[in-house]
Amino acid sequence: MERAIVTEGLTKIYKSGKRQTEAVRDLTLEVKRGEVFGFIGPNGAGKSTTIKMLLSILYPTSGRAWIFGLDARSPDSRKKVGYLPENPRFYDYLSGEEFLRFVGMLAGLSGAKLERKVESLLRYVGIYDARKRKLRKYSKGMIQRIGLAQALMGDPDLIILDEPTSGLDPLGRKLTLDLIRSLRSRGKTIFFSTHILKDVEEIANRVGILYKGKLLKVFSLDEERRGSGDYQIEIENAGIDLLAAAEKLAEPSKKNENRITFIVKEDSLFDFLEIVRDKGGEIVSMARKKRNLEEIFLETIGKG
Amino acid sequence: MRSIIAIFSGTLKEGTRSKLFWGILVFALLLFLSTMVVSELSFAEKEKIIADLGLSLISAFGLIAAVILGTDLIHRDIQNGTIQIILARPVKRWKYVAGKYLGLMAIIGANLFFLTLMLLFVLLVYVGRPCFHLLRSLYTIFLELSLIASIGVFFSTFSTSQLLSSLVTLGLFIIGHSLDILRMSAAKSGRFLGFLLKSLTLIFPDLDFYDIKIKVIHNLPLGGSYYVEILLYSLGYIILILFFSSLIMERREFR
Amino acid sequence: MKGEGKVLLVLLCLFLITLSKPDLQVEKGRGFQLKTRLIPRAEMIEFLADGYKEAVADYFWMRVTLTYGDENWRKRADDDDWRYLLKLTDLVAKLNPYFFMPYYFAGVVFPWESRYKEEVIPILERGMKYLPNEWRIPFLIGFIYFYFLDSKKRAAYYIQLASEKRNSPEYLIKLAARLYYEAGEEESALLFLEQMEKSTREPELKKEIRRRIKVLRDILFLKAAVKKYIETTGKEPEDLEDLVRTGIIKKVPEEPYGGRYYYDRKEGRVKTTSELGKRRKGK
Repeated sequence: MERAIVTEGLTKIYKSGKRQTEAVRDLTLEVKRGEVFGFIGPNGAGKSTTIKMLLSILYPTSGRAWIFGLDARSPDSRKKVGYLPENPRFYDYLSGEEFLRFVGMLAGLSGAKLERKVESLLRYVGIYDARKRKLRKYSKGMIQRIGLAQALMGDPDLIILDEPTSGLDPLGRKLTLDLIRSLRSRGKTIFFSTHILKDVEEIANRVGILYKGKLLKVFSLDEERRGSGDYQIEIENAGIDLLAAAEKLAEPSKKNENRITFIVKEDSLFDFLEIVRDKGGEIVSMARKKRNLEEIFLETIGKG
Repeated sequence: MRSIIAIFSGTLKEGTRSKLFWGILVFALLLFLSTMVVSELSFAEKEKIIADLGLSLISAFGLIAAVILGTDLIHRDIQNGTIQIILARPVKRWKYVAGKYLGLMAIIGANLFFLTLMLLFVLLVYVGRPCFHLLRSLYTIFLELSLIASIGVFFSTFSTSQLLSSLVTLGLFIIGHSLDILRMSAAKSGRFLGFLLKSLTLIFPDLDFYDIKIKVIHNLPLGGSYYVEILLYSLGYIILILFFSSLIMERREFR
Repeated sequence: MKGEGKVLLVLLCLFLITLSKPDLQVEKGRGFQLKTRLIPRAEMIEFLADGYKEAVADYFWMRVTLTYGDENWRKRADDDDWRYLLKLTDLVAKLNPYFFMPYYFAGVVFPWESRYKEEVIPILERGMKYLPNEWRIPFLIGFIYFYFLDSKKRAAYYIQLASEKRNSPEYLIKLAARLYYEAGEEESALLFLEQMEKSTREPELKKEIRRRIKVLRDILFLKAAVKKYIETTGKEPEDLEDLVRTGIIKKVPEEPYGGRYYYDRKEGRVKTTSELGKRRKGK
């Protein structure tokens, strides 16, 4: 199956008395096998709702979804899917080990195979030493880790994560992102939602922007960032007159001791290079400036 | 099948580690000991008094456990969001209901069994011989509580207030034991009300069927097919109620 | 599960339920009979129930009415069953002595339908103590003494007591007086019954009393006919058909309990073959 997730016109409308709320409207997208898809949007955009519809925790008002070609409404579609919800709460009274065993059984594992998987996952997320402690005694970081472990139970091909890094300390965040990277390198498909753009920038292949229930834009990060037309040029030993002249043509952005970085528009490139050469400055580095995600995001939302 | 077992053992662990469960048990034991004191007030037939009070207590506490735990079980999973972890896996929703219910009945059954053993022990001490005939009560009490528990589970699939579910379940228990009174009222009421009441008495399970205490205490025989009949009767209702609970769970959405 | 599977499952459940129900009801009935026989000791209940005596009384009263209201029970009840029902009624009266119904029920039902007549009197006397303004209780005692225990003097005493209470019907005084003069038994009994019929609101009981009134009226009617027969022929009739043959009466009235009226030559009285409506043996 080439495509891990396919949705067609997925819609969720909540009715309360006479009022109607459109949580998700006419969502159509595809996630390819093996890619990391970042689903971004502000809080309340409908990201969690979409994910829950994929997992049949919620039912769409209209539209359909498929996971690896199977209708998402059938439990079989979730055979190879792992899920980590936002702010997860698990069975407090179970120990880490018992909980993983429980999820493993639900995923269809048993016996020695289950035990091996439990052990390996506990080690993989670094919880092995705390495995016999009850979950209610786990810290937030540990909960996150056991959450990731249970999502990986059953060796899923698609892992769905809802706000995986929200509320985590830098260490937790790093662990999660590293894990996602390692999963991708093993050919797994990751679909995650977040409102933290930096995370998406770091690991996603493709991005979907969701705003007020509508999917505004889907694009590949690599392509988009290319071709913005600006250059990023770092100069050393810039004298005052060089700076003055350069500032007329370009935007200074970073300043590091005696190095300054300028953002130069394509059509001003040659003039800028001339000035630098004439005024005795040295070019340390020059590169095409990638447009950052935040800009794309705000721009898209502004239009939508 | 594995899913049912998984949820079953999960529920079992939940129950045995719950403070509520142990609280009920300890309380029951204390009251048990007090039955021995009460029996001192009677001049004769102490053993019958102890047996009567003991069985009543076991029923009462079993009832509390069935109502409270029954209405809490699924409700808690839904409130906490832990149900999402389960449903995200390839588990059919009716299996979830079945696993939860079986786990609940295992807990209650163990509870009842333990209390009955205690009663037998107390009687052994008092009377000097084992009163195994009392075990027949265990069977009917367990079946009756299975029925009540299934009603509790039914409400917990959709009610947002555990208190309300418990009260309604308890109310239905009382109605189930008052069907004779309802029948009499139906005969005396006007046409519409009478019809309503009569249909109620036909639909409702007659919980008086489970009341064999008198016969058990005085060691009188029960009709030969009673044990099978009461089992079929209970199964009929329980499966029906769990079936509807599964239907509700199937259609439900979670936050 | 597919649609058909679901429907089948529901049908299977309904089948199981309806299959087992009848036998279970039989078993329940047996248990019910036992319940009325096995009543815990009154003092024990009073002690345990202390703060909730009225509620417990209500519960037991419910058991009394349910038992009596069950036709099957009435058909198959033997002396032991009635004795325990009386005990239960007594228990209710003890737990809630200001409750009128148990006294009334004891006085009206047991002497007629069971062999417990004298046993009812202590209960009623307690009722007189707790409900001193209730004329119906001494009236019932008086009736029982008169009709069942054949003690006119005691009957008169209680009727007199009843007549002294507030709201009692006026003729009680006359009745007490008449009793003291030993009037013919059937006429007074009829008077009593007619009064009881007026003051009873229970439709079932009312029906019963009316039947008995008919019996007594028939007996009085036949008694007068017999008297006429003796006057005209000089001897006693062989059987009641003689009365019809000689034209004194058109036909022998139908006995409402299904029995037969007949003339007892030994005692010289008109009687009926059925149990009820007949006075206590010995007269």
